[in-house]
Amino acid sequence: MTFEKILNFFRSFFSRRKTNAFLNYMTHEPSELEYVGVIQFQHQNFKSIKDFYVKVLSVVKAAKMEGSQLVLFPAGMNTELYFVPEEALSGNQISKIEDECLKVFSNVALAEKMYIGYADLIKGTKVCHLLNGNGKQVDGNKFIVYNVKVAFMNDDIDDDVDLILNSCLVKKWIGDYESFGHAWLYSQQEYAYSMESYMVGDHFTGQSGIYAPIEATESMSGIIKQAQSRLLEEVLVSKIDFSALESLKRKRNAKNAYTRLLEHK
Amino acid sequence: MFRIYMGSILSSTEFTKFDLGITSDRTLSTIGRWLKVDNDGIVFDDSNFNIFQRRWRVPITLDELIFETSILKIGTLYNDELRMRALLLKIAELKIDLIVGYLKSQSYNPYELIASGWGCAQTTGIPTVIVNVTPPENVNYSFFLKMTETNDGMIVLSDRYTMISISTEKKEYTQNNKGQAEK
Repeated sequence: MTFEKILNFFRSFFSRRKTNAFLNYMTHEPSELEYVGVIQFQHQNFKSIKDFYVKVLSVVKAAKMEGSQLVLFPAGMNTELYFVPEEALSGNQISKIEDECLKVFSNVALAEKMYIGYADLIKGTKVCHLLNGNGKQVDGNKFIVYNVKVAFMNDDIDDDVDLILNSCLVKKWIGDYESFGHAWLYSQQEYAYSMESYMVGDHFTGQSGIYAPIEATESMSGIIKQAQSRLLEEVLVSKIDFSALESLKRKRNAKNAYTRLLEHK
Repeated sequence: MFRIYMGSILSSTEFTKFDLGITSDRTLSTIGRWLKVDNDGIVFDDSNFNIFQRRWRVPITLDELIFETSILKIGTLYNDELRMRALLLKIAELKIDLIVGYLKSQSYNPYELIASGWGCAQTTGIPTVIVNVTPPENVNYSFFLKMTETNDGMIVLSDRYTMISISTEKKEYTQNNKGQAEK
């Protein structure tokens, strides 16, 4: 009798805890950006938009289960829906596919209440998109995600941006130091966090990662998380401590002393 | 063709902090172009009684960063300047042949060298020498190039002394590595 009582107590305790955890997970609305995710996306030609939706939803769910509030996909997501090479598509077909792709990401963002960044590749030009948790596309070059200033990587990034997004298609491997190109280097030069996502599989190779200024990482490497494989799909999620950037603002401010020099002709 | 001698291979006792010699085929190798550091900043001395100094301060004009010799135009950057993207992009426009970066670190950190030196070479496209000073008075040299389809741009990462030959016509680089750095 006593044993049964104890057993029942533990049963109800754990079931209550599980329910509470689930309810917390479902209702918790964070006010700050803490966790970000990068999707190293496995290339495959999708036979239908439904298949594509299911795939995107599944990787976003995987990132969300690890706490991610913002996920970044690689560039060329629209080309996953191409049924023939781009050269064989008309202008109308290309823009229709772009719209379909946007709808898929919008629906997933809405369903999972998640910020999603990705880029289309249209005739070699990257077109970046950021969707908010309501599935709406956020306009502009600089975005506020929760309390953080975010921008897609380009040559004109403002000094006050704290998180840089870089959706890429493919990385050519010349040597090991290639890993430090792009986003990692931007993090070092702009004193900001960065996320970089690549397409992998088939003829695509890349190594996605989440980076910081070297001074903001314990290992002094500037690497928070990096994909282990250059060929296989991975979901990278990491907590980011934006308060660590505070101490680096001194270095950022030091750049202001050079304003006059930079304006000098 | 010019050569950059980095480190104590020079056996120079004249300069106390670091030695960096640049010679060209057109000059006798004994007449070097030397860089040293003193309390006021980096001093460039071409052994022809021309002495140029970049002081430890934020420059007012870009000319303060440049040492121009008969064979080379050298840009000198200090510490955080090597990671200032806007400044590096400006430097890239100045048709400089070589950047000499002076980087004072708390300890040896290859990532810091890559961020400062390799990053500088990638952003400017200019060959970059990094003189890395770590406590108590260790000096190591690194040399980086802009990455190409066949070269990742990492030529020397932190050596005590080494020599690089640069062919300005063919843009070929060879290294005569005399020893590894004592880490």
